[in-house]
Amino acid sequence: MTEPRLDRSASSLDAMELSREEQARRELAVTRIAPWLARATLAGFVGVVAAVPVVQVVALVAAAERAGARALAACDLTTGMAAATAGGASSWWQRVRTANRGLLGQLAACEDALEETSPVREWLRPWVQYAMTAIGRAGSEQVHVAPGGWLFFRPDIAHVAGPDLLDAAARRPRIVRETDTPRARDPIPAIVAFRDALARRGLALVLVPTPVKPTVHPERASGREGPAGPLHNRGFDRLLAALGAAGVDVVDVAPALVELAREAPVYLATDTHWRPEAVRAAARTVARRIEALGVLAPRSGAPFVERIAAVEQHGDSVALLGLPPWQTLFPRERVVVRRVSRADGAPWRPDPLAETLVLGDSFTNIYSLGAMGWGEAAGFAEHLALALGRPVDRIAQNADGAHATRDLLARELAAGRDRLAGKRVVVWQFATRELSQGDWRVVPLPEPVAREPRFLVPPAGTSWVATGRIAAMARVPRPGTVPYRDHIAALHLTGLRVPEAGIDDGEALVYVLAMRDNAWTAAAAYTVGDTIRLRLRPWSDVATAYEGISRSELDAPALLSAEPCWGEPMGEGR
Amino acid sequence: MVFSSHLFLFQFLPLALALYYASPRRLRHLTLTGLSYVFYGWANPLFVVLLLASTLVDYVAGLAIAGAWPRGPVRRVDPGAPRSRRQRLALLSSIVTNLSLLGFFKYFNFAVDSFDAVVSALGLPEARIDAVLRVTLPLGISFYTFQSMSYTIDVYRGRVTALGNPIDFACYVSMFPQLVAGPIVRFAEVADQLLGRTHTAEKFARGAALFSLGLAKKVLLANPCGQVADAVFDAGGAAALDAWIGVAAYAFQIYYDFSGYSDMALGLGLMLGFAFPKNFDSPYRSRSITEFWRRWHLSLSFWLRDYLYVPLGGNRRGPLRTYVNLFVVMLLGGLWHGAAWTFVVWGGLHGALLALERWNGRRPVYHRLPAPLQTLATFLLVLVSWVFFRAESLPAAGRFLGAMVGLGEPPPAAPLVHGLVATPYHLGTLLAAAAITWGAPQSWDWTRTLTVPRVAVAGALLVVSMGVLATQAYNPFIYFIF
Repeated sequence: MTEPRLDRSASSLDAMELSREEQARRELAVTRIAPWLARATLAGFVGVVAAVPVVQVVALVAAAERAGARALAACDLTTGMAAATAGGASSWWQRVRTANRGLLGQLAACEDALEETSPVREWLRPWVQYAMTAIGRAGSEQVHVAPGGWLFFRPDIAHVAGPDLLDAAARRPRIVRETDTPRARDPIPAIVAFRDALARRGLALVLVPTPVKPTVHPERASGREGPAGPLHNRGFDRLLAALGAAGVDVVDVAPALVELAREAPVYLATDTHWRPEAVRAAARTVARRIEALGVLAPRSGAPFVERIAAVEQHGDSVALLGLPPWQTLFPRERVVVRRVSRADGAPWRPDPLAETLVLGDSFTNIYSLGAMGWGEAAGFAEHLALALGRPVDRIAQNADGAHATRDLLARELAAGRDRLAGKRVVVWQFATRELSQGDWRVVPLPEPVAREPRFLVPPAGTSWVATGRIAAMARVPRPGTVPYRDHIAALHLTGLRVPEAGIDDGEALVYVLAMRDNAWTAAAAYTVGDTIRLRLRPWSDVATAYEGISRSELDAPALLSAEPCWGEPMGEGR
Repeated sequence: MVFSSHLFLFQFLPLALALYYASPRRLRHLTLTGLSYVFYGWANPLFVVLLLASTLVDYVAGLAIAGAWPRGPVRRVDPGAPRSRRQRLALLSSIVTNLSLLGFFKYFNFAVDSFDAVVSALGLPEARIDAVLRVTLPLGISFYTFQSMSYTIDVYRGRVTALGNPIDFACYVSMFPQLVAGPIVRFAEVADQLLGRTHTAEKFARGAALFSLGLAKKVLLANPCGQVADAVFDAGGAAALDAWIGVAAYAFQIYYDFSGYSDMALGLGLMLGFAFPKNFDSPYRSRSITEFWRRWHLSLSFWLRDYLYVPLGGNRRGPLRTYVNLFVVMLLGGLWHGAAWTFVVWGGLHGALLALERWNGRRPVYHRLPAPLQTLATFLLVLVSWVFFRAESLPAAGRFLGAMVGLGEPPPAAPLVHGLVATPYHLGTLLAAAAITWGAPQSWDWTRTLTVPRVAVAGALLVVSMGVLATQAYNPFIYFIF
């Protein structure tokens, strides 16, 4: 059969014969396939694309736990709209947009839930990832597999090698989505405002931008020789200069770490974070700066001691890769940590009466927060206390170092708990990647005012079994998209009934564990409108264990001052 | 919704096929329209209103041009007959509505930003608009407005008969296989098929094979190439070799991303009984820029030719006007792709090269070179133009071109960028992409004869792509943002 041909000698725009419909029709007429093969291909294709949801439905029905089925409740699209419009908007257009945003959020949650609860995907993913990593060092969207078994968090490399962190235009996202929350991208105003807010209370701020792994070990990421000094983002030095000019006290620990790295690695090969030696060196460097400020009361004796212990663990980047549990490409890493305890043998604890408060992210939590898997009592705050020879208070949370700890501090103050009382110095530690990727909104620090509690909390040391309706729930990230194994989400419960306490219609702000070991828990499947049954405990009872875990909060001013509870799911509400 | 997503492949597609084939024949267009609106609304439910508005206006305009509004029989307009005022007004309302939608949603932010930049540069910061309003670009608006407009223009020109059934017309505008990223299917190309088409196992089988090849192009080639391109372009700078690798990776990414999408669209069309014209014809094998545009994004090239170049006078008003027309059409074609000066320069560059080749007797200036070198030279020109297409800004494009020719010292972080690029997986994918680009048959041709081994290859690619897809998160198509 003769095909219509385009005249290739002619110009592109004025000489082509338009016979595209005819071309398509004729083209189809010459498709050659045996009838039986056509039917087999049809059946095979439909079988493949239909088998995946069929298996998913069968698995959900067969599941003993109803977690999967509940996850699909995220696809009840009316709940997102209802929640979004509940707040009330001034004009009809605003109401439409708010409802649309709620619906969009619900659609995204539904898509995530469908994907996360697919057994075929769950089965395929580790095998394919293993093959791609073993054969081609493919890595993933989050993890770069470098030569020699080193893993790097891609956002860290993007920060170091990316555009000038002070060039806001260059860092503007290419695509803006309806659901995107606007971010403040310039760190300087937020840092200066925080410094000023502290100064008004007579407190000094020491800023500790903690270098990410490629800054100290670029040669491990590239397999090529790196520069003699730290490899910072091209705007980092100008940022330091600008902060210096504004009178902000910054401790750059990178040179000390690079010096230390000449002997041996100071970052974990398969984890985003630093090794214990680096934690210790950084704590000592910061302690020297704090001492130089001369604002702390004289130390009395040596209140802390350290003892050595060994910890073995897979790094967080291995978990992010999503390899099968039997993988041998990346063995466990062994580190020797120096655990800090009080001289009387009691374990180290943050001290609310300390003169120094550390605000930190996962670089503070590692070796301290047990949930991270690298042991306890050997983190940055502990070693800072050891180096200072004085107690230290700590507010730390994995992720979002640009604002999370300032938010937490502001929340404490708003709730009437003055975490700044008696403090002389605030050390603000965050990963340098936040400088180019974080949300640098200015967070005002309110005056602490005692308030009549509106939200219910069980008395300290007790627990309640309560039933309530979810009025709002913070978004839970998809496993494998964040460099943390665990995640806590905030819920706003209304219509709360606690028979044992005689409460029939209360409300509570509840934190629940929504992701554990890179898998969603049953709580991740909660949706607005669900009635759930929880065991509630005061947050203060569990804060030591859970405070450091990354957490998504509810964006509602009324909840800012709420005293939270810790919630453990107890099955269906009704 | 993205074709290469779990949601589409394993929820929407099986459901859509089941509902479509379970529907009685007379309700299939209604079913398909409903499914398409769900498909489109998944990205943003509010955008459905725009799609509906554009559809409604063009449907009524088509009827008005055909003399069937508010009532009366639908007749094809006589091409030679004079047009009434009512017909002209109907056409104008269609064009104005579509261009207004496109202009506002696509170019509002660009216009405000450009104005602010100009007045700031002139030292008049107080004249800045600093609009609080930032407009979100509706998905696929560039495609469906062009498609919808082509209907009213063709009805006006008497090339096609207007559709009386609003469901048929809504189905044509919203058909999910090609709604958000083309190909821009003109009404004339599917008019007959809307009125009646066959559904055969042969069509479906070829559609399934094309879809599988398209998915493989996207998941196995375009996405890894995109990782390389992103690593290099998003970095503050790169060494010369990495810059070349980065732009080549982008060239393969955009080609396999878009042609993969087009293959999937064609494949889905066939599964639903439609035969859409192909959109790519091995463009990187071209020996000139003129030939490149006869092979790249054909549906846009044809649209621009028939609805812009020809009305501007085409080549009928002398050589100089022809050069100007070519340049203007490509400049606007660049702006169609995105509201940024980088796209304008990209379009202008292609327009200038087309005009130059026209001046040179419809040949490239390097036409005396051996054929493979002509192909290489054309590819290099296309690569340079892709730098503007991909770069965040004109200064960034300038810096990138400087890096390609070794101007200045590579930044200290250049080894990091090299580390991201030089993995066996990424370099292997680039080599495979190059080998397929210049050595493999087109998917369109390859699926013409489907034997057991070919079906097995397509099936294997489908399964492997699904496996690799399980390791990838959100991976939208590049043309979704245009």
